[in-house]
Amino acid sequence: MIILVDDERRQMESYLDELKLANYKIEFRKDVGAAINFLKENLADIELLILDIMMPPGTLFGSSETNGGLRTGLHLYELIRENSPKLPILILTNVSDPGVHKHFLNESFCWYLRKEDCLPFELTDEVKRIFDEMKSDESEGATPS
Amino acid sequence: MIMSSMDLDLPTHDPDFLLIISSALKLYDDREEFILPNKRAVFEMHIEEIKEEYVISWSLAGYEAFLAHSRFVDKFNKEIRLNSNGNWEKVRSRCLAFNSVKQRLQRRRELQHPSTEESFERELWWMTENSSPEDLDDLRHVRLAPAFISEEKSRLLSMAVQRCLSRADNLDDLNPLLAACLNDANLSEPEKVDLLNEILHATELQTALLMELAENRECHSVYRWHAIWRLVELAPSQTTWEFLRLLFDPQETDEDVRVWAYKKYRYLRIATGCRMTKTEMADEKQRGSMDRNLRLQWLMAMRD
Repeated sequence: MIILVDDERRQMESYLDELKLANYKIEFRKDVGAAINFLKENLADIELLILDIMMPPGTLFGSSETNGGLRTGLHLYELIRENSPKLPILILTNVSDPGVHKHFLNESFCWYLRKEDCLPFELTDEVKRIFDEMKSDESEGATPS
Repeated sequence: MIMSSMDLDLPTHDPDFLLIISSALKLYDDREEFILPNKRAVFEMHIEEIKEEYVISWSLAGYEAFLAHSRFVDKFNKEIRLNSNGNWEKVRSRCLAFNSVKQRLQRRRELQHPSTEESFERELWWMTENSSPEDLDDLRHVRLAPAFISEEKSRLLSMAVQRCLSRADNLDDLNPLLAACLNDANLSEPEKVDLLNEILHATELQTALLMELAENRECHSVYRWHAIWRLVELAPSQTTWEFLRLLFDPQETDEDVRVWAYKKYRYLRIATGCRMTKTEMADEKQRGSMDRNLRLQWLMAMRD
């Protein structure tokens, strides 16, 4: 199962449609709290988390630590990583700051895509590529990145 | 059937309808002339309801239209990819551009007419990361009359404007904003100067922009003076000092500004060991840029 966490349902609709068309089972959560709850309850079934960066901080994070919501996904990522170091996470964001990209560069089980560079049907290609990479690394015993 | 772009037969909104609505609303303004006084309150209530219904219908129609555009772009791009002859990478950048413009247009629309406070803030977030110089004018309008106000939103708006300015890589991007800012009747003069400063501070094109402003004779002399002043401070050189001479013309520049320009010019020339020669001064005199009063001040300044 794939979970997509993004606060803009309308913008993500075409991405979701494409993933469904490709027969992926996909869950959508639009805020940090709902995403955390879902992850807690379904972690074992989640094969991939697709995560946005700019989201309202909710009650979990402070507004100042997330720069008023501009970097909420970074904190959510760190929180998830504490408990799930091997959960595959694809960052899908509008953030253009190279510093944010750099933050994820050396992370394992993590991929980074800018929405601007990814057409909706290309997300499906990317997800397939990640799953293929995971499978091939599993069989070789390597750590995917 | 093969369809070219010329075959796309789209329905257009009938402008006559907008004229009817506009005339009807004008008629409504004169309602006291033709509505019974005891029925006026009910009449007004009904008309308000009709107006509200009309606005909602238009908004929904706008949203539906947006979805139609959006679906068209997505499906069109996908069909190209599915049926490409192996040259997908060549055409992909154009498809990405369609997608990007689609998103940008939606963001702008939502920023100007936000459905909720949350969505307004989301668009501001997006603008802080992705806005480009074309968004400047929209952001300026939002800044003048934001749909929702808070300290955080003001901060985001400023960030978005700074982002646009930092991405401007040619003066054509900035000139419409500058023109709009300098001609905006809603802004007071100090607000204009503040905005001008903000624009100038944020862009790497600052020097080029200042030069253009300095030479723009359609621009009010106060702003030209401001620009030249900044230019001289920012990039002190023989070239920039010459811009001071643009302020010597008595037809275009107020006297106090001319005095300032003369003094500054003379000072800079002396400081670099390139005093104005007698010939140069005589030339200025001949050009008529030094009237009697100014010559006196000039002489006084030279005596200091």
